[in-house]
Parts: sequence; C-alpha cells; structure tokens
Amino acid sequence: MHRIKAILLTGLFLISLIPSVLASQDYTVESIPNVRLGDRTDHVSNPDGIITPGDAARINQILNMVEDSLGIEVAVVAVNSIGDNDARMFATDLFKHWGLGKKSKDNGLLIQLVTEPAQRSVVFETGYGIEGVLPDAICHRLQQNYMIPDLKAGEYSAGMLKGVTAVAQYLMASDYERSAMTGSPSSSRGDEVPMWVFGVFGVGALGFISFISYLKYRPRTCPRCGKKTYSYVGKHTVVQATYHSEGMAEEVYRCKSCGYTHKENHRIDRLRRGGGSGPIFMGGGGLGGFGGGGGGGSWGGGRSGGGGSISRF
Amino acid sequence: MFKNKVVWIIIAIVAILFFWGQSAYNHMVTQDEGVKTAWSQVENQYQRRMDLIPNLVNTVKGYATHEKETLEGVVSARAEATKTTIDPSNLTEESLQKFQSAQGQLGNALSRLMLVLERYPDLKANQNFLELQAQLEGTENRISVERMRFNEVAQAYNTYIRKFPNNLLSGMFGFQPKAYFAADSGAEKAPKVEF
Repeated sequence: MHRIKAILLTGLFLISLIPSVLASQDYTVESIPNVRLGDRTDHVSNPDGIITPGDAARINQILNMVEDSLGIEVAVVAVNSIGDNDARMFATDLFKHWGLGKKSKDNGLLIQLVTEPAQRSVVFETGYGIEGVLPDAICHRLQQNYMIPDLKAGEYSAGMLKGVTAVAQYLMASDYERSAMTGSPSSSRGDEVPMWVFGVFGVGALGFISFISYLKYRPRTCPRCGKKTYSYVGKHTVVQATYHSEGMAEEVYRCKSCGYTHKENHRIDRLRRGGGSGPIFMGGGGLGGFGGGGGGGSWGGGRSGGGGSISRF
Repeated sequence: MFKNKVVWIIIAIVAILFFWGQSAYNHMVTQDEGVKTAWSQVENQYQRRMDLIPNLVNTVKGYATHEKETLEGVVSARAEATKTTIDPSNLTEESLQKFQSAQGQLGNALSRLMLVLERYPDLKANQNFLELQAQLEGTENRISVERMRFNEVAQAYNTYIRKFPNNLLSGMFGFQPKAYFAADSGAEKAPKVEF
C-alpha cells in the first residue's frame, strides 16, 4: 500500500515538473543566471541556448579583450522571454541588479536580446561612464547596421556575434575609424592637441630635469680648502630596505683639490606591497569586483541611468 | 557627595543627547544632499530633452510642411517648460507639481508630433531624424529612471526625518519633507516614439 502511494506521489511530482521544463521560462531580473559569478571570464548569459557555443566562446574572447584593455565590462544576455516586462526597463533593472562596470567609473554595457515575438528586441544599456563614448544615436546605428539584418532573418547567434564585434571595434577604434564604421563624418571636436605641444612639454621637462641635476652636481665651496671644487659624487645603498625595515643610503660629497670627503646618511622608506612606490598608472588595470581568488567573480558595481538604445525588429 | 552624583548624571545625559543629536543631524544633512543630487540628475535629463528639441524641429520642418501647428505646439511647450524651474532646496508639493505639469505638456506635444510624423515616409528614411528619435527615446527612458531614483532617495529622507525622535530634531532645524513625482497619470506618460 505504501509503495503504491509512493509511486503515485513520485509520478505526480514528475508530472508537475514537465510544464516548467517544456514551457520556456519567463525570466525575471533575479532569475537570469549571472554566469560571471561562476567564471569571471564568462560574459554571456545564454540560458535558452540562443547563442551557439562557438559564437559564445568568440564573444567571450572579444569581451575579455575589451575588459583587459579598456576596463569596460560588457554583459550579453539572450533569452526567449521576459514575460510582460518592458524590455527597455528590464535592461535598466538588470544592469542595476548586476552592477555592470567598475564602481567608480560606471563603465558597464549590457546587450540584451529577447526573441519572443511580442517583445522581439535588442537593447543596449550604457552605464553613466560610457554614455559619452557610446551615445544613444551610435548605439542605435550599430544595432541597425550590424545586428538587425541577421536578427530579422532569425539568425540570432550570428547577429549577436556581429553586434558584439561591432561594439568592441567601435570602443577600441580611433575617431577616424569610427566614422568609417558608422558612415558619417566624425564630430571633430577641435580640442585635439597638436604635436608641437608635446614638443614644448618635452623640452620643458628636459630643461627642468637638467636644472635639478645641476643643483645637485654643481661645484660648491669646499669647507676645508675653500676652493670651488667640492661637489656631489654619488649615492649608494648601505642597508637595503625590506618590507619590514627601513634601509639606509649614503650620499658622498668630495673636494677634488684637497680630497676632503663628507658623507650624509639618508633613510630609505620601507618597501610597500602593491606597487605603492611604482608609477601611478593604475587606471583601467584594476579588476573591480573580484569575488574571491578562484575563477568566480562579480561585476564591479557600476550604475546606469537608462542610457542606450532599443531596436525592435 | 550626593550633589556630585547628580552633576555627573546630568553631564552624562547631556553628552548622550549631544552625540545622538550630532549623528542624527549629520545623517539628515547627508540625505538632504542626496535628494538634491538626485534632483539635479532629474533636471539634467529634462534639460537634455529640451536641448534635443530645436534640432528635432529643424530636421522635421523641411519634411512635414503641413504640421506647422503641431511643431509650434512643441516649441511653445518647450519655452514654457524652460521657464519653470525649481530651487532644489525648496522641493515642495506645489512647486514640483508645477514643474511636472509644464514638462508633461512638453511630453504631450512631443508625442503628438511623433504621431503625425508617422505619415512622412521620407522623414523616416532620414538618418538624422532616426538618430534624433533614438536620442529622444533614450532621454525619455533616462527621465523615467532618474525620476524613480529621485523618489527612492526622497522617500528614504522623508522616512528618516519623520521618525521619532528624529522628528523633534528635524522640526528644530527646519528639515522639510520633500515632494515625490506623481505616478504617470497619462499627462506624464513618456511619449512612445517607436515606428
């Protein structure tokens, strides 16, 4: 008796599962898998398998290159259905939920494809930080020129790959190449710095450096013999600085005529981890929002303000 | 001895009151500034829409020669909206309503224009127009996002200053509750600019 009941219950349970497997799911902002959490090189959330594995790998390759060189975090989402939600608003919400882009730069971009007939659309949602590079009109143009032809023909995967490629190219390109891509004269802003300015700066910097070194190496009056032949010879390290202790350096001054030598000791700062003493070119290098040491990680916590463009097709 | 104790207790109470007041007051100031920032974001986006209009009108003028009236409606609504500004430290129900209705008029005039432009296929093939349309659509979306965020920030502020015992302090220092944007009541509905 118990066994029959158990079998019946199991059967009922299995039957109840069927609709949720068969019917394509209406995704919400929360239920779209954030694939980046498992693997931080994975930018493509593709739960319905709309994008082929080959194209997805290619997209990831491109987007990792963009992230490494520009720091811009791009996410690609392709789903069948988002229920009754407005596709445009959905993109804004999803962007906020995931927090695309570095927190201080808001340089995220979301590319969202919905294929259900009533909602069929592709949306670019731009973070506050890249609205300037990727204005709405450009988003629209890229969508129209590179994606819509394929998407209209039902070639979703190819269309997405072309769109991502175009966006990446556009982001990495120079102004001149950009105008070739979008087929209109680039808005020359007139704020370009002419070459001679660099020349002037270069000469100025050189002059400054030589002035400083003159101050250091100039001949001084010798405190013993009084001749003007006393000068700075050099500096050498006496005790190497370590991460735990300060070091010591010795600066030597010597008079060429009488041989009088004077040594001055200077402290060398303790070494710091994390490149504190190195050049301060930290720029786009910081990988924002690491979740941990392993393969997983999240987005950087950037924000968007509803910028971007939607193309329905 | 007894007197000494009382003095200490009074000092302790004053100190506690002071530290509570300080932190609550500073919190209010921070939130007040947050509301102002959110407001300036809202204003920016409305401004962005108004900046797009002259360009739009110029583009459309050459094509839609029969729509003079509708175009003029947009221009005059824009002029009206430009005049209606709010001092962010005075976000009262009344001033916000005035602002919202002026911008709502503009939104309506714009959506009417976009509707009549449906009849001009030449215009719809014009690259410049298509881009203006994309920009306008993006701006409408930005406006609704920033309005929503403003409401969120203003709500947090209002809740904070009205809670006991913060309300005693906010009353004392004149922290006024901020008004919200009303839900889209048709007048403020973003014009649909899709073709």
